[in-house]
Amino acid sequence: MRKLLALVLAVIMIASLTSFSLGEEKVTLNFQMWSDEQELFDKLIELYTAEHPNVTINMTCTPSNDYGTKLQAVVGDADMFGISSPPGLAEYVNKGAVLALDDLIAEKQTDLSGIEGIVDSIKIDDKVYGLPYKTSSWVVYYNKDLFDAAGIAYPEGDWTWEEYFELAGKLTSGEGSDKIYGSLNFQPTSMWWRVPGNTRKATNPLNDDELHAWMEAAAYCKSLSDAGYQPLYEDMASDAGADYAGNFLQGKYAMFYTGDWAIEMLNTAIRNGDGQINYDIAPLPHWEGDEPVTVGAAGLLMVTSTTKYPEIAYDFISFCTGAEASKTLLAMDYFPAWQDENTIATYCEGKLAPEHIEYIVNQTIISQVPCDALYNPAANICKEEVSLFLLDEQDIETTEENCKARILEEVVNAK
Amino acid sequence: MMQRKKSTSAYMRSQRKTALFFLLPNLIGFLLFVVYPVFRAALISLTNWNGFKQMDFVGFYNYGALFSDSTFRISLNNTLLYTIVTVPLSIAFGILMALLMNMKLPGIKVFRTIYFLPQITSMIAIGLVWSLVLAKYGPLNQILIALGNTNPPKWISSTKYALTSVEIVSIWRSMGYNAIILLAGLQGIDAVLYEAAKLDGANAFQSFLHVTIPMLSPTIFFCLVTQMISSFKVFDIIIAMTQGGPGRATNVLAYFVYNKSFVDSRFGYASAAAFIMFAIIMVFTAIQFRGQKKWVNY
Repeated sequence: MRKLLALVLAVIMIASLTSFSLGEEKVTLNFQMWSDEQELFDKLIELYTAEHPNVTINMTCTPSNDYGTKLQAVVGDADMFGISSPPGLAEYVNKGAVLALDDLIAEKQTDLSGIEGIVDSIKIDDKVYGLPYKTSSWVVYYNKDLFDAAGIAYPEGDWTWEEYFELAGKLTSGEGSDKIYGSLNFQPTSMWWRVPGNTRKATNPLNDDELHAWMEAAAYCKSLSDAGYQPLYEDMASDAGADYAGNFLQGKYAMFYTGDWAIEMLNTAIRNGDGQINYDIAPLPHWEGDEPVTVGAAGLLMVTSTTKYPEIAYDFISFCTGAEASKTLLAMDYFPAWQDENTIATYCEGKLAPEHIEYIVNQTIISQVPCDALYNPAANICKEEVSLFLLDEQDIETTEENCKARILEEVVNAK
Repeated sequence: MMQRKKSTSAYMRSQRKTALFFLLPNLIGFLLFVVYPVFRAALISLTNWNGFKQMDFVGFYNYGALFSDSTFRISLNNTLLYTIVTVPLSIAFGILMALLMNMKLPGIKVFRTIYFLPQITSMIAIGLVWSLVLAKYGPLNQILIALGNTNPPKWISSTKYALTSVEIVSIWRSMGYNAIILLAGLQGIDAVLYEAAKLDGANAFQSFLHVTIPMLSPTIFFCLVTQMISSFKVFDIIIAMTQGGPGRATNVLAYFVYNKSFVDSRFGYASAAAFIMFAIIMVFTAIQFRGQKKWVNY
């Protein structure tokens, strides 16, 4: 009798185990992200888990300043993580921390049609390691009031850096505290000076010809300051963390170039009464004879090589980077990486300022940063050397030689 | 006799045990968060660890490579210069301030608090405010222009003055702290000594030189050691004001270590640099401890 009871109990136990494993397994995934994206991903996680009730996603958000440092420590315990630019992806791929997605893409027959361009640009050794969920795009912001006052037509459509220079000159006026500058430059912590080089598709200083284009771009930016059309770099040097949108709102600058994120900053400030200017945007200029392009950097999602649930983690990131999620991004004023015929219309819909908002989305965007793990250290060297050039402490030839020599010594030949 | 000695040592032993017991919480922390990481860093410095999987033994390659790294050499030079300037000056000013604060003046306690404030203020805030003070058209240069200087320094936007700017801020920040420590030392000096000096006909300066300074020497020594160690490790003020720039003009060792590890992911290399920094601090501290026998009065 006892034996029989034991047998029955055993059978029940085994049966209950099997039935449990037949049902959908409960899975908890750890997701590392930076804090700026919390609201967006809270929403996307909510949408995803509504469809997949067996999946729980624990997102940990870290302030963006500390994110890079923290991610190094925690990436091994995460299932998925985000990164704000391609060189970061390359770094983690080098470390062996990222799962190659090609097999999963093929197996799940994921539709990548809306993000193909970016995916191609972030392949490493011909493999896909991450998917883009958002992108950015640079434009020129200009103060319409200052253009009107000077009786100059607004820049529209195609234009060149030479024309930008000329316009900046025409828009510069006044002296001392009444001075109005045609163009605004950024503080030394940023690398804004390379942007005219970016429109020549020079994005990687590890290639000599691209480095040369960066140097020409730096010289162009310095010539704007030397001509008095924008403040001297040394005046900005003590202005670390300067608020360029705030400076623009004071009405002292006619034009400046930066990414689409400034729209939100400017609109909010104007709404709050922190500035009473009328502004609009124009495409980023290009060099005479070049095709017009703009630059942008994609925000990327990755699956870690250490995850226990690669399929589910992949399923989540492909959801966040797909057509369906792009609607959520658009609704939250993000510029989604996913682009189809609806994106441009939806992006511009209901947005009253700036008038030509479509320039954000209807230009050819190339990646501002290469998917190269050595990019960040190399770019930092350029930043240090170019700052000396912009401060008039060394000429451009020396700057270029120093960059080359230091990149070789400190980056390429470093083990 | 033998009996007595034995009982003393038994007593000492039990006392030692008690002491150890009380020290334990701190000791565990020290072992876990200082001693272990130091040994671990020593091991890492012999590898090419990238913070994740790759970790091959490279022997002393990192140490050799460091000395041919121009950025490392520059940061080492800057650190030495920074230490040589800030340590003596912040202590000298600290002594002057302590003497002032030791006077029985109305409202002196308010000043003691004010001078100590920089020490408890966030370095980021200090950096921001000083950046404004040192700006090209900032208040400091306005004063210099008013005094007839037609070409005032560009401070943190020139390689020539950037390190000096950082040093000024650093001295300004730490002298109040030194002053408070030195003030405690001053107040511990027996008034009888001054009285005796006075009877011997010493004037104020002589009694400062022959009574105050010798009696204050243990406190000065303490300030010297702690100040020097923190000078070698300077980091926050650099991040807050110059990020090592312009160019590499204010790149210091700790900033170099930070950049190589957390920006470039070369933890092996960075650990080697950190170890060289550790060795330098140790040598300097050892020299000071040896030297103290000559000038410190206990």
